[in-house]
Amino acid sequence: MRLVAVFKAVTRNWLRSRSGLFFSFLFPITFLLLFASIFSVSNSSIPLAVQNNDVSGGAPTALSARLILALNSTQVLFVSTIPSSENASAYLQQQAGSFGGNPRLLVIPSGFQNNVMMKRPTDLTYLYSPADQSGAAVAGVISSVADSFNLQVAGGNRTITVADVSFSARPLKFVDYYMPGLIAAFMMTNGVIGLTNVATEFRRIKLIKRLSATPLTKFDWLVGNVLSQTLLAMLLSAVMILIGVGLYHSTVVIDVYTVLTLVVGAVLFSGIGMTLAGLVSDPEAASGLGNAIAFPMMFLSGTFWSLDVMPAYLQVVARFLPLTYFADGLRDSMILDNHAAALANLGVTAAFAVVFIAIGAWATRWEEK
Amino acid sequence: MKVEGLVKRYGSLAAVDGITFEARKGEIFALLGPNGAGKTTTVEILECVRPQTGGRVLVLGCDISDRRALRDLKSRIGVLPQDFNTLQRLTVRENMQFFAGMYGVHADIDGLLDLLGVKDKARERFGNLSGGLKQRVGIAAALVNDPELVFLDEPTTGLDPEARRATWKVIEDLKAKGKTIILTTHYMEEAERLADRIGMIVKGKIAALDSPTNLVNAYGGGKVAIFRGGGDAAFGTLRRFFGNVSMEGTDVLLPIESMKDIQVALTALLERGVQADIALKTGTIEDVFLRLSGFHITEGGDVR
Repeated sequence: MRLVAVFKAVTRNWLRSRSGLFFSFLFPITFLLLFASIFSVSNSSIPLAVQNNDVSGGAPTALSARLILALNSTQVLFVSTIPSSENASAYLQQQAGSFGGNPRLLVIPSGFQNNVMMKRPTDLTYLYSPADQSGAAVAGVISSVADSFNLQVAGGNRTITVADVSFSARPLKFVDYYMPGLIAAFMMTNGVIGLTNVATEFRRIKLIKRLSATPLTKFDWLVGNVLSQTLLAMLLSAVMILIGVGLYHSTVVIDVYTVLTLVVGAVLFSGIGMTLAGLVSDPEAASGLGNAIAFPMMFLSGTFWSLDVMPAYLQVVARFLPLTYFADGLRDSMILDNHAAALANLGVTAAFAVVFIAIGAWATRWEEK
Repeated sequence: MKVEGLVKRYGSLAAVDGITFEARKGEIFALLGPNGAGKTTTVEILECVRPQTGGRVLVLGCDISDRRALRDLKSRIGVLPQDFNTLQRLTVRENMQFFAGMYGVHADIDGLLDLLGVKDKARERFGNLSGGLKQRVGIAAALVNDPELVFLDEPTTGLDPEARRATWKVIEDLKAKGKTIILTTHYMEEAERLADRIGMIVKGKIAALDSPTNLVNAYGGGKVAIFRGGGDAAFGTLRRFFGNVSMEGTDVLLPIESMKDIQVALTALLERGVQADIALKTGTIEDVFLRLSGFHITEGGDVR
């Protein structure tokens, strides 16, 4: 009852705030439109795993070794090899589930050298994740290397072809790659910046003190606010998805994992907002701190680009940021249909949520000193 | 309400230093004192939003150090804090519904807004109201749970004289409805007009506590006859009969103990043909405060 009254009042108060609506809805939508219109491919060295099955006497055949060397010397790719004993699809699943994983695997078939020499058709198999913004670019690089082999070794006959297989049956639109990251990033800023501002304002105008003189408990107050934030997060996600589907034919999936991840994420970022507002008493300092935390987190958590284009030490930093797991989890459920990975990321996000809600509840002062 | 030896300490500083008083059912009890004297700290402890350091407080018969009893107690009191504020973008009515929700009651919101004279503002956003109207909405919010005891912390601070008088009327109406009211103020006139009893707070202590009349009788310096423009002639004449005559400019001041003193003074002046306008001045709460504390309180509530 009290909780519902809090929920209704703070939600209504928020929905009537022009600046709140701008930063929480219009700003993210503008970003979505921008990202969907600008196609950009990263130019830095992109990791590619190669499984060379063309071995004779325990060593790679000369031609397959030359192909790997050629791929490496493009300077676009950073090539590593995995043993031919490894099961390719198991490797991809495992890598995809791991942290920041966007695995790309090129499989050189056994008999590759022989077939090329005999000018018989031979297939290189390239596997990559549909969530991988760089996947298509890498396919292009492999094709051009294969073409140069065709030219030099097979005398211009197109004997080597590249079959690219992404391990999702669903064809994805470009907007799909960005949708989860954008939703994640702006849900984060709504909690870390938006709620921090709202909560410090409530304290500045001494509304908290007034409410503490009523039978309302701190618990009801906090839960009412978290519910309000969750509703706003759902609204934001719904609007973003509707625009994505309506304007850009997005194919993102909204399943139980997506919804659970969104809810847990909203709780998590509310917790961070409450923590900041509780620990920093000066409203301007709290707002500044919110921005100082939100913006680096937004760019370091792989929401706008894949983590493996970042230097190793920043990837380590990303490992400690809750947004990394939240965004990854959304990607897993919305575009990869990878339920195991989505569940794992949901677990980490939920753990962060519990920690920050606990700190936030502790830091929120209900009684004066 | 019963307060015994209430102490609130911040480190070595005692903001409230052993306050004792009782407020009786149905009365208006005023805590009067300058800014920083400990008025707000005291009422916030009584409102259960600030813990005390020491002493014993019974509010509506509940010991407020018993944390479990607080929720029930809070549902029986109403609070107007200093500079009342609430959700800015909600209308007055929505804010009242919000506060009603805090108590889980269905209040007669229109009736309350009418009582406070803000019914026509019900659809306005709270943030757009003037200071005086905000305070009145604050009082309405303090009444939403039909409390037995109402705390009004500086209800008229910052209001213009007209709004102040309107608020006084409201407070008098509340008393007429049988509410017990604890009022804090630094306005002498407000305490004198509204309060049944006044506790004067100076530096965290109660300096005096009684009804305004008794306070004035005890500390107000009694009645003084003023002979305006009497000058040296009046002064010289009255000096023959009274030992404690004084002069302020051309005015001659004579403290009087009975009607007889006036008769004597008038006769003496008439016999000598001394002309003067006569005024009779009674002591005020301000005189009481000055005598007890040694300072004046400015309009802004500071000491001078």
